[in-house]
Amino acid sequence: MDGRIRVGAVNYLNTKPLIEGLTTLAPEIELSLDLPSRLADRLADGDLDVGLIPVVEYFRAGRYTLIPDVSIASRGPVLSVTLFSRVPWAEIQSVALDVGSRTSAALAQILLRTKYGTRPQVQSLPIDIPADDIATDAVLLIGDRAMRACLPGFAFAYDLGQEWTDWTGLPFVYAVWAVRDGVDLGRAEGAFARAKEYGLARAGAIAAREAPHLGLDPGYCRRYMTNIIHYDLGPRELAGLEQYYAFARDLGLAPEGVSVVRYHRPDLVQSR
Amino acid sequence: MSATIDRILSKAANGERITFDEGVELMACHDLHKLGRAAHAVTSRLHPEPYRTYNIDRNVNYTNVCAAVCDFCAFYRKNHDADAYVLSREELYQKIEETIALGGDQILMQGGMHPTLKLEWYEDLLRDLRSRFSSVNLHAFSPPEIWHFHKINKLPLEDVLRRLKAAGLGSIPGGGGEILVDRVRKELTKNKALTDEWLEVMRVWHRLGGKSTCTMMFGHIETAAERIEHLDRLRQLQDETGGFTAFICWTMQPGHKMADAPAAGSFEYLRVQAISRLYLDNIPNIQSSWVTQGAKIGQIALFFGANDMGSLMIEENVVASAGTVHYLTLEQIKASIREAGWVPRQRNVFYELIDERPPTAPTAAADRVGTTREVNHAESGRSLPVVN
Repeated sequence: MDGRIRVGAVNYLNTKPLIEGLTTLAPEIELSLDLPSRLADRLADGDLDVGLIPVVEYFRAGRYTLIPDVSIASRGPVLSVTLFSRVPWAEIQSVALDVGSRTSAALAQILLRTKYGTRPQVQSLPIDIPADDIATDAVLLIGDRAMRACLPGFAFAYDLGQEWTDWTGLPFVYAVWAVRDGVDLGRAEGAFARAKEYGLARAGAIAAREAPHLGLDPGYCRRYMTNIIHYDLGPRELAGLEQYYAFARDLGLAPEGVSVVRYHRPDLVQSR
Repeated sequence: MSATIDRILSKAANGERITFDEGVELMACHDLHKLGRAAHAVTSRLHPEPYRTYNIDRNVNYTNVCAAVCDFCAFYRKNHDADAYVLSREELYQKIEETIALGGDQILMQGGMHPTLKLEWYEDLLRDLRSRFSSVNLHAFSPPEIWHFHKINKLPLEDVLRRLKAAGLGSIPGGGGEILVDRVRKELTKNKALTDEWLEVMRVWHRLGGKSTCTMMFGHIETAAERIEHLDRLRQLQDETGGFTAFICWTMQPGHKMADAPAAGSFEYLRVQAISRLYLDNIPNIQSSWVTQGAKIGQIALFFGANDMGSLMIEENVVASAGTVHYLTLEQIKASIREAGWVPRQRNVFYELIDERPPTAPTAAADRVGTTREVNHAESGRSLPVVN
């Protein structure tokens, strides 16, 4: 290796605090921004060394390690992972799932099948198909799409972050920094956790900069990053991750036998 | 669809009244950001002041005996149930004294609809509390209770209200409103004031010069159009009387008898509150519902149409018995407001500021004007608390 560390992340508002200072804190990091599902593929192909990938992709690969202390999680409502439905949960017979995040798609299926005991027909909703055109009982949308969908005819909007936490009492982890096997991060190892602190300390500035592009109020953007999204990966988040893995595995949405908590450089993990 | 929504939103944001049909169109729109931004624009226009308010009161349920029988309520008891109660005067005095000690200026006193207590009992109660605690506003008796007094005492509604007012009733809370559509009310409750009756209590009270708040509890069996019908009835009455000081909405808290009802979450709460701000062009204040939504969403609600953090509820029984209630301390309420970029100010039910010495600094209006915490404090010539 030439010393460069190729890091990939999604370029959404909720990832900004994690990547804001990354290349400043570790100049050897080369950051590229991409779609979540593409990131997982690029990490698998060896095109990236570290990826901020959806947790279900982390389970599926089964051979990546985690950067400690950092994740994208919610502890209740998340506002941006929403199942819109024409009927109440228990009556949902068909659902279209945004292909944008396989983690949330699996979460929706866990809630439908394990919590509510339904067996809906599942289809995927491609990125380029407007959700308004969908004929299924329910449609899962994430991110900007979730907060920007008009969807007349859908009487219910279920916040999946809230549904998960109300049900399990645990945070929900959406994404983690996953390191490809065999990669040595060297001095950049600690940069990810430091970048989180750096980014959160500048949440106001990030919000002020990004809000106009998003057409949002900066005050709201800032609170979205600091109060709704949580960036830690502590014991509660890990418990949420383990619980999610167990449900996903039981439904065949994640492979058997994955050891969920596999830290990159466990010797550097701070004791709690 | 989107063009229609945009047109309705810009109308509302510009202060033009939106129609019933336009309200229904908004209710079918799940674009949280678009609705929130428009609602925030309205709030910013109606409330350009550098503060956001809260009040300190205590929710006293003087009795849990109730003849109404509502499907969503886990609080009420029948008269002969072992745990049925009517609070003694001493218990009430103590609760009020504690409230005053905490800086409170108001008692939100609601009961069940007790089947045997006569109007004289309530008059005595009010007179007694009035004379003992002259500084405390008695914000009491929701319209279904007052309608119930009118029925069981066989007295004209206006007489009931005049007598309660004379005895010391200060203002009326918007309780028992749920959804003001009879189809919904008949399905959810028995023996409880119907829509016109609920509104008539408020109408007569307002005519007598009284003020009150109004509410909406949604996320149960109502349709989107019925939510707008509810808002529309409130807006019509407000046109007529101008007596409502504030509107508060919250999602029904599942977990009791209506456990099967789908839980409307925070996404839905913020969406509906935003639409309410847009629709209720004549109701000056909207209170955030952190008691049901928690502190984080309660604060974010200040960007979705609310200009008030509601009440420091020293005691809350009804929502709590349905299983979901959040507690904040006074400091947490103030911190939430401050952290969101405004000065916290204590107000009363009439929205008069009542803090002894108002904080002098308009806190960094950082987020609202699109600057950051690195705002130039020197510019305002004051030392400002850092918004973080």
